[in-house]
Amino acid sequence: MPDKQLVRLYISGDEHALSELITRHRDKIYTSILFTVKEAALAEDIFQDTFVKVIDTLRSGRYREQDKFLPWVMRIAYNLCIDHFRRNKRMPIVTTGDGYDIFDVLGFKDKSIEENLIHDNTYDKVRNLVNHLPEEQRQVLILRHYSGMSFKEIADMTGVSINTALGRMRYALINIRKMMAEKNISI
Amino acid sequence: MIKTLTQDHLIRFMYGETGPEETGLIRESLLTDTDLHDQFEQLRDAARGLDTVMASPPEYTVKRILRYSKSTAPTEHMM
Repeated sequence: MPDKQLVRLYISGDEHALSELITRHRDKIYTSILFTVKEAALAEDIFQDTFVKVIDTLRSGRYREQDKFLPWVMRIAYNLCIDHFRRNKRMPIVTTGDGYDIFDVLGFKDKSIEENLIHDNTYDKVRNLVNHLPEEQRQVLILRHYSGMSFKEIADMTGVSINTALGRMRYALINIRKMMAEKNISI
Repeated sequence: MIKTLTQDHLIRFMYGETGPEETGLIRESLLTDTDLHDQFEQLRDAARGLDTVMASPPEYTVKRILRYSKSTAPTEHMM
């Protein structure tokens, strides 16, 4: 069932429709928030606040149907992340400090210990690569790859041209590939 | 009409953002142009790497959201 239909069902009172929408998009939304704020407890709070806003907006009738659901939710999440950094008078810094173990608390379901170790190892390495990208590249990469936003939507949201967003994504992917080769990471 | 395909075309293609005509042209070029094919494989490798780091929110966070929704549902909509 398309998101649009689930949104309509939820507005008309079907609670299961919200559950389905969350299940469908939670990993993309949560991963994007986590990569942005780099702290699991904070990411959980922002994820929750995002959906509280989603619920309140849908119920108030302020949701415009022409908006695609996921990019709309991602804009709310992104703005909440920005609000957090503004409140704390800091922006995410990628290249300093590597002491974040934010992914350590995350479990891997339905895998053997051996599979977990292999996955864990690759997971940590790739996560570090993303966190070492220049901030502008990391931002576009998170919004495109994890949030599923189009380059047009990213350009509108971040106030750059589509070509700039595309260029940043190109450099991000090239840098990721280069670092993977340097560190012998194979997928 | 596209004269030269660039990595930006490949990136938009990889993320499903090209129109039918452009998609057809890129698919055809990937079969015949080995340099372009190599560039595409490198971009795809990087994207595959990124797929290994998808995380899930804890179940209790999702349950809290669903509880909030139920507790604030308009009375006439309560199921």
